[in-house]
Amino acid sequence: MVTAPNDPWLRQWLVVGAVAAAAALGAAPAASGAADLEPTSGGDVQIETSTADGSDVQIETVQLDTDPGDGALEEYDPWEPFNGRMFTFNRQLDRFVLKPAGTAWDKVVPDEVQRSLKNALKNVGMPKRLVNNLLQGKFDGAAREFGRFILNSTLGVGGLFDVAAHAGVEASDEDSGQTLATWGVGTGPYLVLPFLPPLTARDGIGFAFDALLDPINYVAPFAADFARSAGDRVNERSLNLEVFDDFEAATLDMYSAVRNAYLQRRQKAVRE
Amino acid sequence: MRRGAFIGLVMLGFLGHLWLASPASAGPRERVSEIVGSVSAVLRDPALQDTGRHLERQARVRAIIDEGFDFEVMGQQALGGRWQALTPAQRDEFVGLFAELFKRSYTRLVLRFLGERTTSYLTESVAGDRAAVETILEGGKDGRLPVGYRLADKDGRWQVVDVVIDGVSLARNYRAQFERVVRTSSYETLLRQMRGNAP
Repeated sequence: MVTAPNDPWLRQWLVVGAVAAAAALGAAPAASGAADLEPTSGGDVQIETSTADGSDVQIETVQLDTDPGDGALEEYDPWEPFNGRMFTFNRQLDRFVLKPAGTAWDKVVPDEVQRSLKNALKNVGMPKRLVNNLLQGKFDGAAREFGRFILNSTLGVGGLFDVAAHAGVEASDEDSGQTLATWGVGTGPYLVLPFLPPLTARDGIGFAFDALLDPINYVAPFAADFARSAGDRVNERSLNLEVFDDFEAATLDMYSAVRNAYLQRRQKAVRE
Repeated sequence: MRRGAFIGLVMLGFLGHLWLASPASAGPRERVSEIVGSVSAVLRDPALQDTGRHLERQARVRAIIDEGFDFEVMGQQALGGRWQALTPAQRDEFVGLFAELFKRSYTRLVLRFLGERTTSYLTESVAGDRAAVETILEGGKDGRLPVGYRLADKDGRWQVVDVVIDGVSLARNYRAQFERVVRTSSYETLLRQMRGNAP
């Protein structure tokens, strides 16, 4: 019988190796984003951006795309048949395990406690965000993450309360996948694995490296770590019950809707 | 004579005020604020809070969306390159089905999220006949939710042509779905699914 490895280093490198092999089979150029504004008139145009109170107005002259229909996100999915089967499995897992667990959790646990748990788990993940901010040269972001950790760990009672956000110290949510993107690594193929959220090959490698930066992995045995991850997923699912239901009701093709939504959000995260 | 001139001046001033205050001259941010404000007013109307009046609340929100969104431009964006191959009658059919699909979905989202949250306006960007207004929805379980509105100037009036929720453009998301359905089945299957999604 195969048992899960208890050595966190071995565990993480097994995942890295698997995803790197997948990435080597077909890396694609980084998905290019499209301009947010695509006026129907082409040539040079002036973009005027102002804040809500009109106090900060910036004007820049750019040449914009003339094709109103262009600018679609590149969705590189050469493994769609495999991904589709994995997606169906994960969807069944969500329907029969995560959603019922999330619903029960939502009924039993007050919203404030759910948010506090989310805050605490996020606080523990500071090393990942700090290191990736530094690797991307975002020193301001790194300073904010460190400051948030100190504030939330102390005044926020071990991270239960996001005191830093109230003080105007915003998070800089960087991860290894975004770091790789900043370094010019292409997204690679879209990838769906059982029990995991959607990934690209690049983000999969990043995900494995992020696990190496998670301090819990070094102090908790595999079973406890798995329980924490499962608990995190249930809590997150509980916080998004209605969003998921509405998203599902609004789609014609769930697979492509989830793929596109994931890729768009990642593109935005890399840009920020 | 002097009385007539005076009355004429007053009328001119009154009509000028109406013209300046008319929706046709509202900028992108004002337009979004108008739409969001109208929806919020419906959601917070004490007379419509009763569970039995849910359908009426829904109908009013749909009417506001109908008036504030340009579904022809949205539909064209969502269908992508295939739009050029359609006849005018087919385009009308598609736009009609798309409008119904979007209104059902977006009304549901709006009813669930807009009422219990406040909207803060961040920036407005204008480039020719297109604009982007960035907002933040605050409150609720998930804290802050960035929502962006993309608008197009149609005959002097700004209309919403896309909504970007936390980085996800609804028009692009629909486009990905429609492309896959057409690729794996056919355009006729897409229309059938859009009709089949109707209540």
